[in-house]
Amino acid sequence: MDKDQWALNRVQDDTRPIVEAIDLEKCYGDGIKTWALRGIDFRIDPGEFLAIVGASGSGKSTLLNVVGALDRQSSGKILIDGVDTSTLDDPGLAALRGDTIGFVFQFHYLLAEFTVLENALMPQWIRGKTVDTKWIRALLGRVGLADRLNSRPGELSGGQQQRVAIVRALANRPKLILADEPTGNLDSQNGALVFDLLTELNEELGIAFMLVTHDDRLAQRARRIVAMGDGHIVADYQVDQVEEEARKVAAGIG
Amino acid sequence: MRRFELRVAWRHLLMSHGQTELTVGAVAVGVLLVVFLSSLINGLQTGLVDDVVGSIPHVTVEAATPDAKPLWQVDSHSNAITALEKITTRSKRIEEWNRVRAAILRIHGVKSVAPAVEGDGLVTRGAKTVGARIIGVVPSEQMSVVSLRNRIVEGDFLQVDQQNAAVGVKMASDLGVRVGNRIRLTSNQGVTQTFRIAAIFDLGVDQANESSAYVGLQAAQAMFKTGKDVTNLNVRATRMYEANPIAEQIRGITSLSVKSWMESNQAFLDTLRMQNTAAGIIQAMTLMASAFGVASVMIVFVVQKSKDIGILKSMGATCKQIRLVFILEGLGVGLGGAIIGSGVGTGLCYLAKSLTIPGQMFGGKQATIVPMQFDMTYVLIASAVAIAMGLASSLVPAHRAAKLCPVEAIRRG
Repeated sequence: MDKDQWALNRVQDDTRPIVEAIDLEKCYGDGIKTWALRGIDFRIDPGEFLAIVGASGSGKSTLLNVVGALDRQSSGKILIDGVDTSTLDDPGLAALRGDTIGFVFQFHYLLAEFTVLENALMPQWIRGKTVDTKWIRALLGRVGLADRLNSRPGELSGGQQQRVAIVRALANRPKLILADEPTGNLDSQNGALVFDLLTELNEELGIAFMLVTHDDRLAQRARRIVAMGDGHIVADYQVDQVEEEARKVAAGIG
Repeated sequence: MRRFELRVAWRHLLMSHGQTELTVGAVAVGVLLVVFLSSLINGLQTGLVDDVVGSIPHVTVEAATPDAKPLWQVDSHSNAITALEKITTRSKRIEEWNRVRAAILRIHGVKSVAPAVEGDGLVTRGAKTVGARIIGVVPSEQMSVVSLRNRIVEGDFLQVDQQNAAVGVKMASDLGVRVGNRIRLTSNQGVTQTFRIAAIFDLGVDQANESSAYVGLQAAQAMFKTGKDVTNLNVRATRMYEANPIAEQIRGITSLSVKSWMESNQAFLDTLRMQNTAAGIIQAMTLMASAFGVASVMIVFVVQKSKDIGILKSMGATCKQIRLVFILEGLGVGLGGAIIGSGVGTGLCYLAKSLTIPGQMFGGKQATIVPMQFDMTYVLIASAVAIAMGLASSLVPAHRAAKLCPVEAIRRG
């Protein structure tokens, strides 16, 4: 796939927010209640790249799971691509996860019994769509794994496995990628490579990325940062282009 | 087409690090045992039933013996003694037996009917005398109602007639006679006649071997003074276990005393039935043990695969799809176990059947060590049960897999 063809894979521009959360709350436990999310109001627009930061236990993973329809909120409302998830049953939620969202986890979770190509095709098989091998091959080529199609996950390095997981998340051409500590299990060099790949894919394909990380250095490279503490959003700001430049210069000197 | 579920189930089975082999093995052993045990028990019972039933008619029709009536039931007290005496001296017989035989032959399921004259008497050889059941038959007809072909130890049963008799092995050894020797038979009607021994038989039943003496029908008619009549009609059914309904139909057309072998051998049949029940319980328990084995291995497998299940759900797999994956695996295990178990079981049956005791003969055939009687029905039933079992034992694990919470499964990284 050459550059022009690749560009055709961009998500069609859409003004509707891809995620819209209104007074989202999540608590665990029946007797003693532990609040993981309290009064969350936020939205993600198409093509955004935002990093969720915060100490462990601040609710960032819970937020990611609720946004990804893997978990249900206790109260409040969340619209994914305009659909209120509380109105969906299990097949409906599964369809939403399969078609609109892609997941990348800290641990790559590739299926050991399947080859790289088969792992990347899995979301298409699950959704029972016409298998678009061309797209998957193009993606695997894009992340530099064109020659590892028939390898088993066990034969790949951690960084390579995470890149397969990223391709898998993109298989059904989602509008939103949710990544939970995608570099957390990699050394800093491979972590930086994977992070770069995510930002590049965000720019090239126009897919929105929501990334949970506790690596502030990586988070600073996102265009928008949402900071969480005790289940609340404590800060939500766009990283200014100028500020970014300044930081780059500072980092270069430091 | 459910490509995703089939693909994942198949790949899990192929690359399970021994779990597939283990579970398929458990099912196969169950199926193998059912096939082998069924064949063995069937073989043993067929041999046993053949020993017991082969030498007796399936249904015996006899002239009814009038019961001696107690005095108060006799109409007139004055001639009570005369009445009772009359009954005891009158020899029972089937009159116009040819017509009765023709009627019985018309009943569906009746293969052949042979006439016989039976009565008690004595057999004498020199100074030795033993009690005997003297049976007059037409040899060729008698051989069509009981299987004698493999039971003749010496001589030729077809030679039995007015001058030639056949006796059991026990009687022959008791009297010290062989084929060609002469014996004297005396009926309870006081008629004595000398016969040459034409054949010695072994009916597999001690009582018959010790006391039966076969003579020609006309000879017996003369000895028991029945004229042209006979005392018994012996019936052979096409299927031996249909003896009871046939007996019932014969009762419907005659007033004679009718008894099927099943009625005469109730205790034997009960024993067979109990044996079958016991074997059935053993087989069911074996299959159940296999099923529990499969279920527990599969539950462990689901736990092992919980992360994979979580990730599949995050990729859009529904609970239904996940459930189907594991149900297909259970079906695969059942199917694999059924195929291997049937194959090995059938092979073992034929192997066991081919084992013979060198030099030893039984009933004119090479004696086998294990009397296997293989039947394809056992394979089909055991296989069907195994597949159903694989399916059933996957239900709980599949349900657990389907209900797995993806967040929990993935967090346990």
